[in-house]
Amino acid sequence: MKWDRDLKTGLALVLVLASLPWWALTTSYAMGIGITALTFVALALAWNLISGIGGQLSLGHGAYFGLGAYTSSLLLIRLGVTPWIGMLAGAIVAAIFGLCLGYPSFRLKGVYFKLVTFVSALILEIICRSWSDFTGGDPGLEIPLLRHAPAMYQFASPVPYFYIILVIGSLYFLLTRWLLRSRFGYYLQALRDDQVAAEVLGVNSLWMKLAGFALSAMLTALVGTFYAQYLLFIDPVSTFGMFVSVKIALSSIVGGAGTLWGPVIGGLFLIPVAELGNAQFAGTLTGVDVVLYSVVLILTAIFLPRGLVSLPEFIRVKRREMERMKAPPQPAS
Amino acid sequence: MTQFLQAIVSGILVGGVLGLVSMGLSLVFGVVRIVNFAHGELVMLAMYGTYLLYTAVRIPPPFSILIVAPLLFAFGVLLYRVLFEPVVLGSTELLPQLSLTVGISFALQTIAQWVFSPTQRSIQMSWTTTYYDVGEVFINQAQVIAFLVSLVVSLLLWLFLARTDLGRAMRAIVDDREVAQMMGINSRRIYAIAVGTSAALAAVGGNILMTYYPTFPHVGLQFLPLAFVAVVMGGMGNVLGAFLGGIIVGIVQQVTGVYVAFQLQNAGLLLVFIAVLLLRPSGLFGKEGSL
Repeated sequence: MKWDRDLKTGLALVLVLASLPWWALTTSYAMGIGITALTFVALALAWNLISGIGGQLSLGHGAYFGLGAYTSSLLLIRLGVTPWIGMLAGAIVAAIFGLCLGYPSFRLKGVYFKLVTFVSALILEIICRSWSDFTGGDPGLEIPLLRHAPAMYQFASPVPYFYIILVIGSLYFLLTRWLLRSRFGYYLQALRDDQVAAEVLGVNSLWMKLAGFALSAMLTALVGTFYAQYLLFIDPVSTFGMFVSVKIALSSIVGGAGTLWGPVIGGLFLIPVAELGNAQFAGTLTGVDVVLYSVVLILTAIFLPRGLVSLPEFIRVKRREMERMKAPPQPAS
Repeated sequence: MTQFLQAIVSGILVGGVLGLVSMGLSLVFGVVRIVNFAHGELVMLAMYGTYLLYTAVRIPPPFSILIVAPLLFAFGVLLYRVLFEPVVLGSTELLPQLSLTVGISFALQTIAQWVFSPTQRSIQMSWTTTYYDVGEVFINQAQVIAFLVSLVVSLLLWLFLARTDLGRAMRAIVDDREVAQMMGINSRRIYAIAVGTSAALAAVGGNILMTYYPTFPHVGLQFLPLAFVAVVMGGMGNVLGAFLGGIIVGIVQQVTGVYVAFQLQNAGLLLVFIAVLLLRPSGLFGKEGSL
C-alpha cells in the first residue's frame, strides 16, 4: 500500500476522531451525535460503491440497512444467536435481496431504476409493519438488555460503539480507495460514464453491476446490525423507512458522490450541523435541524452540484474570475 | 360481486384525484426533466390553503380552487425561477436535483409544522358523510364531486396541451428539446409555466382532497410514492397516461385492500408496479424508447 496523501489524511482524521471521546464527546448527547455521524459516513461509503462510483442511483438503501438490523435482531431474540454471527447472516440476506432486485431491474434506465429501489424499501417497510407476528410490527423490537456483554455485541457505555463504527468506517474507506484503482472499480466507473462504450470494450455490465450492488448491500446491512445493537431498539420506519434511504443517499451526494472523500465529508458535516441547530434552539422551535439540513441540501445543489469536495475548486475558480475582473485588459497581440 | 364492484368504484373515484396530482408530477418530469420529490408538499400547501379559506372566510371547496390554484401557480413559477433554474440549467445530472427537491420537501414540511402545528385538520362539509346507494354499492358524495372535478380539470389540461400554442410548445420540448429550442421555443419561460401548471394541478388535487381527507404537515408523503407509481405506469412524461395510471393505482389499492388485507394495499400496489416496469419498461401507455 502506497502512503499517498489520501492515506495520510485519512490516518490523521481517524486519529483525531479516535481522540474525540476523551475531550469533545464527553456528554452522552454529544456522543450520540458522533456515533450517528460516523454511522452515516459508513452508510454513505457503502452507498457510494454502487451509486456513486457505479452510477446506479439507489434510493432504497434503507432496505439493506433494515434487513441487516432485522436479521441479526430476530436471530438474537428468537434463537439466541450472537449478533456477531447475525450480522453476517444479515449481510447475506441483504446481498440475496439486492441480487434478486438488481437482476431484473438493471435493464431499466436511470430514473426507473431509482424509483424501483425507492419502492423496494417501501414494500419491505409495509411487509415488516403488517407481518407483526414475526417482525414485531409497528411497535418495533427491543433487544434484550444485557449491559456489558461483548460476546453478544453489547456494551454498557456508548464509547465501545463509537470505536466499532470508527473501525467499520475506516475499513469502508480503505475498501473504497482500493476499489477506485482496481480493475473492478474501473469497470464500474466506465459503466457509469458510458455503458455502451464499456460494453463494446468487453465489460460484462450486468455482472459488474450485480457484484457492486451485492457488495454495497452487504456493507449497508453490517451497519444495520451495528445500529440495532447500539440503540437496542428497531422499528420498521427507522430502518426501512424512506427517510433512511434518502438520508443515506444525500450524505454521499452532498459530500460528493463517486469520490473517495465525498461520503466521509457528507456524513461528518450533515449530521452534526443538523443536530447543533437543534441544540441551539432547543425548546423554542422544533425541527430547526430539518430546516438547516434542507438549507444545506439546497445550497449545495445550487452552488456545488458535485458536492462539498468540489469546494476548493469552486473557490479557485471564483478567485480566478475575481482576478480577471481586477486585472487590466490584455492588449491584443 | 357487490364487494368487487364496490372496490372498483371506490378505486376509480379515489384514483381520479391521485391521477390529477400525478399529471403535475409527470408534466414537470417531461418538460423540465426533474423528478420533483417536493410535489407532495405542494398538495399539502393547497390542503392547508383550502382549510384556511374555509375556516376563516367560509369559502368552501371546490369553489376555493379559484383562489388556491392561481396562488400555487405563482408559487410554482417562483420555485422554478429561484431554485430549480440554477440547478436545471447547470447540468442534467440527477444527483443535484435530488438533493434540491428533497431539501425543499423537508423545509416545507417543517415550516407547515411551525405554522399549523402537527395536529391533523379537517373540514366537515355536508357532503363529506353523504352516500349514494346504487344497487348496494355505496358511493361517497364528496368522492364523486372530487372525481368529477379531477375529470374536468384533466380535460382542460388535455385541451391546453393539444390545442394551444403554449401546450404544443410544451409537448415539443418533451419530445425533443434541442429541436424545439432551435425552432425558437423559449424554454426558460416554458419551464416556469410547466412548474406553475404542475403546482396548480397539485392545488386542485389538494383542494378537493380536503373534503374527505385530513391534512397534516407530512400528508404529502402519503401521496408521493403513489403518484410516482401512477406516473411510471402511465409512462414518464406522458401526462394523460399519468391520469389513467392514477386510476389504476386506485383500483389496485382498493382491490388488494378488500381481498388480501387492508394493511397490505400498498404492498400489492408496489408489487404490481415493479411487475409493470419489468414487463413494459416504458410504462403501460408510454411510447417505446420515449426516454
